[in-house]
Amino acid sequence: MQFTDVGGITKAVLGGRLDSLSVGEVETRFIANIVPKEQPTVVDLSQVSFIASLGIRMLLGTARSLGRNGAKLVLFGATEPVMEIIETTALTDIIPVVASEAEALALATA
Amino acid sequence: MEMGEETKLVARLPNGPAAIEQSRLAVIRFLEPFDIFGRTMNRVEVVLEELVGNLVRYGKSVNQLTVAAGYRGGVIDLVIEDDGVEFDPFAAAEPPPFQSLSNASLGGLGIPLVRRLTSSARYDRIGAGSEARNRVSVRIKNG
Repeated sequence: MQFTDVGGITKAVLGGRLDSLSVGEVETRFIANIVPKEQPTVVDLSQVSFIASLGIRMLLGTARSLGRNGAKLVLFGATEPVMEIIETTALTDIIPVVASEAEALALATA
Repeated sequence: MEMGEETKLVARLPNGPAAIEQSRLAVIRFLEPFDIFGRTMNRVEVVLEELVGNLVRYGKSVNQLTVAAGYRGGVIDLVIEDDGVEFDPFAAAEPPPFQSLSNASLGGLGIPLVRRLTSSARYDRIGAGSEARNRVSVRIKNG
């Protein structure tokens, strides 16, 4: 898990499996490195190989907390299996999910 | 554990966090010889994660759970049984669709996911007395 600042936008890179075991290990750090900054955030999912409902909940909760401060969270780079779960949960109805980092960065500040 | 003639895998596991990974690995190993599509395998893993994960996290009365898997004719059957108090995971109503980020519910995402990733999902309370068990049966088509 990595965090960088790209011109006032937080970029987070997640990797591996976002299952119940790993979400328990990464969630606190993920939220702590994003929410307090109160700035637009893009999350790179290209290295995430698996996601289940707890991973979806982590992304949703983080986006909701950011949204309270008027900042947007955008997901990008989801692999096919991860994208299927994101779409199946209808997360795409309330969180933007795009293909590339460039699209995500543009959308995060739009 | 009753699943019909095609039952190939039965894994009996003590309730605990390790059961999630143990059941996943057991089912993956069982399905390896078959020509299972990658996206189907992902669905199997997500469904297992949700069902076994719920038992581990919330099934305080569960001592042992059993995961059975079968494959025949392009269909994967998973049956998960536990010895806990009667609980039907499919009894709760589907949460409402997301309307906005601000009022989106963070909970209850797992079981709807199971419903949508499977072609059938049912609950039965089987046995009686000290032999009573919860049984969840799901079917996933390979494709």
